[in-house]
Amino acid sequence: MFKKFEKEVPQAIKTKIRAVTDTFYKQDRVENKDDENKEDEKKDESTVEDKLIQSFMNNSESDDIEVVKQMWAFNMPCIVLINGKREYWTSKISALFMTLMKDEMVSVRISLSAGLLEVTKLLNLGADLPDSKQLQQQMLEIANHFMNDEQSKVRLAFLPKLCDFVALFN
Amino acid sequence: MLLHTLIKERLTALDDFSNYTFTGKNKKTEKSEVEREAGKIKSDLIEKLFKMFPVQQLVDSDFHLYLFKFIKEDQNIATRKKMSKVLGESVIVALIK
Repeated sequence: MFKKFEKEVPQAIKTKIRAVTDTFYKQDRVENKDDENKEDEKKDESTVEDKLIQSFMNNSESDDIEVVKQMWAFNMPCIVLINGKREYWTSKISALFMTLMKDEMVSVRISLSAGLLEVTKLLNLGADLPDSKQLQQQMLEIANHFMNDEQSKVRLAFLPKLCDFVALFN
Repeated sequence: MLLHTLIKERLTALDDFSNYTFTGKNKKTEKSEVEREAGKIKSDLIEKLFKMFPVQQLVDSDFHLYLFKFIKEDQNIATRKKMSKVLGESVIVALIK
C-alpha cells in the first residue's frame, strides 16, 4: 500500500502532508517556547490554505500537552514512513524523539520504545551513506536508553524485538 | 559485537533481581511471578536468536550455554521441551551439516 502511495500520490500532496506534519509535530511545545512562536504567527500573513492546515493540525495551547505527546509518540513510525523516512528523521523528528524519550510520562516512553524497531527499519541503516554510522550510533544509544529505563513496562516493550533490532545492524 | 554487548547483557540482566523492588504484599509470590515472566521472555529471546543468527557465531559466543542452563534447571516442562527442540534443530543439526 505504501509503495502505491510513493508512486501514485503527486508531489504537491506529499508536500502538503509534510506541511501538516510539521505543524503537528512542534519541538517548541515540549520546550515551552509557545509564546514567542505565537507572536511570530501573528505577524505572518498566511494564505487561506496555510490557515486551513493550521486549524486542522495545529496544537493550540488549549490542547492537553500530555495527550498530544502520546499521539506524537504513538504515530512516530507512521510519520517517518510518510514523510521521506531517513531525511525526515535527520532533519526534524530525531531531536523531538530524543526529547520525548526522556519524558516523565511512562505511556509516552512505552509507545516510543514499542515503535523503535519500526523507526529503525525505516532508516535503512545498512545503506552505504555518509551518515549511516552516526545514525547507527544514535539508534544504539536510544535502544540502550530504553533497555535501562527504570520502568519495566518500557523495557519490556522493546525487549522482545531486540533480536530483530540487532539483525538490522548486521 | 552487538550480540555480545546488547543481547548478552540483556539476557544476564533478566536473571538479576537485585535491583527489583517488590511492591506487593506477598513478596514471595510476586518474586516467583516476576521470575516466571522473565524466564518466558528470556526463552523467547533465545529461541528467536537461534533462528535469526548463524549458529556458528552464536556457539562461538557461548550462547548455547543458555540453552543448556534452561534444559538443566528450568522448572517449566514446556520451556525445557522448547529449548531442547531449539538445541536439536538449530544447533546440533546445523553443526553436523
